[in-house]
Amino acid sequence: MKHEERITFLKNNFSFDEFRPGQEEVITALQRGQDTLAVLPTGSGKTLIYQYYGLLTRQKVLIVSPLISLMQDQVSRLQAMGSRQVVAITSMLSYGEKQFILSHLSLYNYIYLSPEMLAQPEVIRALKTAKIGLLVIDEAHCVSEWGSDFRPEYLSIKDVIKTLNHPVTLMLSATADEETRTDILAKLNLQIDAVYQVVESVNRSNIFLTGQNFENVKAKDQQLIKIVKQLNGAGIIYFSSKKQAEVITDLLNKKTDKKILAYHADLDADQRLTIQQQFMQNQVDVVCATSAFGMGIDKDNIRYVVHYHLPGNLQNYVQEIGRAGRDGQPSLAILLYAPGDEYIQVSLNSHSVIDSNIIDYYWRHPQPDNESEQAQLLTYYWRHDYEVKKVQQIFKQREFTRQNELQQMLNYVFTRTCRRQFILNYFDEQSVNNNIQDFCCDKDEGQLAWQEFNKRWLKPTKANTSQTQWRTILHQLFLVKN
Amino acid sequence: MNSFDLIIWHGSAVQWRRPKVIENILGGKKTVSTLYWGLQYQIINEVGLLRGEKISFESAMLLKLKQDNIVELNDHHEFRLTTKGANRKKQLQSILPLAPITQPIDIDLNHFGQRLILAIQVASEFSYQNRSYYPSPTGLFDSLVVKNWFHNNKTNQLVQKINQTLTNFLQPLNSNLANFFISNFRGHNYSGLTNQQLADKYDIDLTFVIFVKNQLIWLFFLQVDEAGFSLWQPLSRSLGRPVISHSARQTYEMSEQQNLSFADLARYRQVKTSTIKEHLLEVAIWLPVEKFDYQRFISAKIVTELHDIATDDLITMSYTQLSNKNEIDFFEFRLYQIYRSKRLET
Repeated sequence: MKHEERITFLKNNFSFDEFRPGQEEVITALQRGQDTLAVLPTGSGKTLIYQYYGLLTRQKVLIVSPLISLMQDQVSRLQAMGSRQVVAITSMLSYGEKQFILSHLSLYNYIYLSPEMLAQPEVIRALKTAKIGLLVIDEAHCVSEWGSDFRPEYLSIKDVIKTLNHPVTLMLSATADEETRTDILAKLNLQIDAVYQVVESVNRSNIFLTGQNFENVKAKDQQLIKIVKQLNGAGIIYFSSKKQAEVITDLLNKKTDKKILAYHADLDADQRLTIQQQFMQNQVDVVCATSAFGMGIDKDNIRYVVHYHLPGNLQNYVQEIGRAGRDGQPSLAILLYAPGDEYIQVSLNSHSVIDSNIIDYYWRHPQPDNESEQAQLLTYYWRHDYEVKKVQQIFKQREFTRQNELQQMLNYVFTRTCRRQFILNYFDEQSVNNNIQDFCCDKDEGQLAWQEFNKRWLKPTKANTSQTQWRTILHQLFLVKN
Repeated sequence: MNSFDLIIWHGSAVQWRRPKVIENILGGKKTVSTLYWGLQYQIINEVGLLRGEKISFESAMLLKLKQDNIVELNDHHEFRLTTKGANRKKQLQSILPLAPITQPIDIDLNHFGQRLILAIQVASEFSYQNRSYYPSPTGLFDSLVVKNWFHNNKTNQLVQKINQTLTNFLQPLNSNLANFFISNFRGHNYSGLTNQQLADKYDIDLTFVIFVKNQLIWLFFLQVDEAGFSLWQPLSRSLGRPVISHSARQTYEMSEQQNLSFADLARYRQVKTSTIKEHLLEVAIWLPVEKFDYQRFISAKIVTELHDIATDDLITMSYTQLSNKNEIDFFEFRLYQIYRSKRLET
């Protein structure tokens, strides 16, 4: 298939005039029947790749994804992009729903699956008869044991590849250095020479990187009010706690004339969709989101991302600021820090640490029926005959990795040199000249401040008001032809 | 989540009421005691209106309302509205003048509501010939029902019919209620309002938003069901939820068909005798007074005895207050109370 033909297919089916960096290269490799590992930053259109392939080849696509919330967002996104035959098979389904889906897999073109589901024989049996044309492993770095996002269930995927007669396999990740990529392929039993790799830079040249450090939280809050008052365009503010997201939402609504909504796990899916839609219809200026749910927000013209709390690592930071400027226009990232902010991450990290004594105890008193997250994790290793010392080592390593990553995040907060370079170094990437955009970060010579950036690059907007009267709304809802 | 407005709405300036009864009614707990007191508070048709929502009228909440002089509390875990509380209730009624529910809820309202929201969204986008939108989140079977409904009705008239039904429903409503109802939907370039936005707009609690929302959905269902609009009927497929429990109905029908003692009924139904009595009380609470054969279960002698007590307090009297309770069975006492309540109603 020629480039022009691919573009025509893209235009006809997705209304885009061109591919984003990396997309065509990956699709071409898949069309050759080659397993492909693609490291593409957030917002680069990974979903389109497998949607395109599925539509082009008229084959079923199976997507393994680690988080249920992520999966549900992706199902919605695929549906919004016009693919209706999509389903997610997760533990959230009732028994009846799951049985229906498994016996009607022929109805679906895109099947999302959590890795735990792959361990179930009835699921594998159903998938074998469904004839999967493309296997997608989303967040493929989760297969790497040394990574902080390691999911042991991902280790079973290599068996699934074999059971399904090795369909063309696409591994996707937003962040995976060379060591991680090698580890991914090893864990999936794929020959490194046989896998095509596409690695795009994490650099987002249209995002101006800045940070501000404060003496205390009160000063941070005061500055945040100023920032929100002055900044033009739509923005997201990230929090590590939903309570704080709510508190700041109230504060900003009282102290600014902007329209702010909170977005987090306590809202059900219907409420979150309403907020998303209002944001996309430019009826909301700012969304205060927790990191876990920020990924569900799908808007191309977000002009700024503020971090009220620093995330646990630079991988997440880059993913989260990547929400801004997906339209390629100048955008802004501001990381706010007050002493003690890192303790939220320390506390979150401590929840996932399993003490060696507990591991030892578990091996002597296994609890396969214990449904707690920690027990489930240990059960996996125990069931797969891991030795207790190995498991203790794995958890110690994870703890170390997390601490190290958080320290790197703090180093970024306090860096005195180019922020962009700091990030690129962290991901083992070469330097870039970001001056094509006439801006880089607030550590540049000349040090452009966020206010200046705002004035120069961000256009003022005003949130639309939504209709309130039922007659007008009905008139809007239904285009009634006479 | 605080539920101040919910408790105020269900309070009375005259009658002492147990918050636990209101909580159980709204949550769908159908014990005979809950149903009986629901009948007395005239909220029995609200059974299950907030099923699935974690509503809890905790003592801390009631103490706060007392401190704010909205309610007074007695030693029997009951509350009554003060003048200030009654005024807030009037204010709520004037902002959102909901009429009392006339029929008990006999469908799964949560699922019907989700299907309705999706159906209206699908129809809205269809009218604009747009296939690219984020569909409202629903369960698998609910989305299949809506999908089938849409395929079976996908004609040029679909949009007009829906528009007309909604207009017919909204027109007679108070404008606040009409605007409230439509804000729960979404469609082409319209996203609706979140519960929090509705709460802020009308200055009401979040739980009260859900209460109003569910009542309006029920009201909508009743209207389209009554009018026999075949267009909407498929959306309620498999959502039937009988008002009288299946078991209670079986007991009552068996007792009607055969002249059996409680012990015999219990043996046939393989339940305890006390359960048989609860079943019969449940049926009596729900059936119109003329449809339940009270005379079969309460002897003339007992009726006379209770009739002699015949004060207005009888229907709110507790069994323990009855001086000659050793001769009157609780079942008979309660059944007679139900009879008297229903006579008063008619």
